[in-house]
Amino acid sequence: MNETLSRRADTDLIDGITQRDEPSLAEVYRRHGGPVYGLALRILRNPDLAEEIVQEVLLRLWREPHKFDAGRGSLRSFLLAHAHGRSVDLIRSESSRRTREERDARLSAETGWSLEEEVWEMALADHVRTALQELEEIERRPIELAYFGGFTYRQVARLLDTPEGTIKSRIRTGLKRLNGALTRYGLAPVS
Amino acid sequence: MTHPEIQESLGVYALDAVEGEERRIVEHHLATCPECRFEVVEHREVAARLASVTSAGPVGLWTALQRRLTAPCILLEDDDREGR
Repeated sequence: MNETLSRRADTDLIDGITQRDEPSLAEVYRRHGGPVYGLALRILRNPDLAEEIVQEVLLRLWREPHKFDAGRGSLRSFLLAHAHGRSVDLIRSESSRRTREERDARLSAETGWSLEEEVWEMALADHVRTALQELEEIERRPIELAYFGGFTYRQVARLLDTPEGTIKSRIRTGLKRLNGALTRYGLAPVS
Repeated sequence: MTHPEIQESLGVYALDAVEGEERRIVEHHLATCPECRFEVVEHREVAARLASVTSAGPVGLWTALQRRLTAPCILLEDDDREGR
């Protein structure tokens, strides 16, 4: 890996991509490809589809780098938001009925998985874990189901047998509480 | 929806957990409300932290992607959702 390139800020890499500089895109992939793939795989549970999502996200960045606005958050959150949106679109579409059925079956059998058992990037692991511990289960679980399960809040409400308004509120307050904790640990925003 | 009602939806919106008319109302509101846009950015940054798992991209994925960079441009599905 080009050492100079590896030290450049994400915004410089976007400038490079705008000028059709392929190594800049390669560096974006090196930095963020893993988490993007991991998120898509988490939602879709299908390595082939997850790879397709990564390619789609990066191809779009390659072709439309101007869609990234540094004033609206980090490059990683931009890429992850795109990957998340595409993944949930896929899992909710009729064409992926089989995937959805598998997912629903998995959910009904699911007992063990939780955010706390994920392995984060080393530098983040302890802080993210500690921040999550500040959440009550009633806030953490809806966030897990919505973000990593790809469920709508209405579906989450049914799954948890909780009023829809309550789920909405808990997700928002849970995210705010996490943000506060991560900021205290000096971890926001994602670089 | 009132402003407080829309604010209450910003968390689920940021996680793509709201659909249909409610989603459209939030997006319409975001176009003119910097305060709510900022909150959505914050929620997405938090989510990005949660998604920052160790896993590296699969071997061979970059090579496959590279081949597509120079392929004739096929228009990707238009996706004008806020922030994407």
